[in-house]
Amino acid sequence: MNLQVDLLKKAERRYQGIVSMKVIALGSISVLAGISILVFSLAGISKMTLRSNLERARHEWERLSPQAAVVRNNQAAIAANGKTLAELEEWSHAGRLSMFGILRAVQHEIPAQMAVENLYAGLEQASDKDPSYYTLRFSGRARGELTAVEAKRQLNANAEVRGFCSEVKLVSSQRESGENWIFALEGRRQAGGSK
Amino acid sequence: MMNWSAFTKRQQQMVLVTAVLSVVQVALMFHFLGWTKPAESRGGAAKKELIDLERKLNDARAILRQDEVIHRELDQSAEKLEALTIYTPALSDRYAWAYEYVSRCATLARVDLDNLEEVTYAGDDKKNTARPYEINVSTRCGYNSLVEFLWRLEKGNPLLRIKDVTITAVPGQPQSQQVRIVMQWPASVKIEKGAQ
Repeated sequence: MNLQVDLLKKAERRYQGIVSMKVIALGSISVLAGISILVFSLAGISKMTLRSNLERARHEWERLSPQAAVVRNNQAAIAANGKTLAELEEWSHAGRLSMFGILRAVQHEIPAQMAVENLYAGLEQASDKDPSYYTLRFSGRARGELTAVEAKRQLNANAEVRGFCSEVKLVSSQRESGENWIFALEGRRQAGGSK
Repeated sequence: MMNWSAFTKRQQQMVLVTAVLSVVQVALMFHFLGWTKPAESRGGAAKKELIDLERKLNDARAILRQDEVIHRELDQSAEKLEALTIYTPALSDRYAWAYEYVSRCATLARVDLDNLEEVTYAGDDKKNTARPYEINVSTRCGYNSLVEFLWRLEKGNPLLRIKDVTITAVPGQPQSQQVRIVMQWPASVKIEKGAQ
């Protein structure tokens, strides 16, 4: 039977490893210090690189910024010109009345027994705040009681007139004498609305 | 495996001090390297400035790559507008410009003009560029001549808009009517040439 007798006092005991405790402790501190130096060196290099990149970026920005500003100005100019062109397109197509076409259609559709004395065709607006109306309004004299009604029917069958003022209505009809009648017709369509 | 109880008091102190120092050192390292902050806020003001500059530089490079296309588009849009300016009254002498155009059309349609005047609105500056330029024409002519006159006016100028026509019969003259025409043009055509 083997018996292990420990004759050393606690204070006299020594660490039994290959390397002494002092070496391990110093080694640990050295490794930590080394790692710290390495990490801080890398951080320093990184900071220098950052500064150099920043300097390079600043110089490039100084060089490119005015050129980019010119191109941006040109881009804004294209947008402004495009807007003007669109407005002119709207002006010359959607907002433009073919007035000669309307007058020609009225001339074509009105029966020979009618004499127009007053005619208004155009974009009517009572004031700046009120909506605009495409208006065709005319009055005159007709021979025959139903001549004005016939004129109304023919005008409403005309695509150009319908496109302009939607529907022409007989506003008034009054016998003047015998077969002669005084009449008034009117068609109105709000501008910007559907035809 | 180290036996803690086998260490002398001095050894225990040494291990403890080493461990505390390690922890403090690691904590300080983390703190100074900024690893305790979120990734985007690391590196301080310089890093932020660099990120911002890089973003702006990328935008600038992207737009500079389109320089040629943008320049071409700008030239085209300016040319289109230039082509339309001949149909709008010159700002410097709008009345004379409109007068010449309307007179020419009237002559071709055999219509004699009685009056041609600018329409001005109360409170409006005469050269107000927002409101369309308006001309009021008065004439006395036959219906067919009037239709031809309007046709010539509209055909010859795509930017002319006849706002309204008022016709009143002249007693005793069935072939002649009193006519009032209000016509409009866009106030002006503004052309942006861009930066040179």
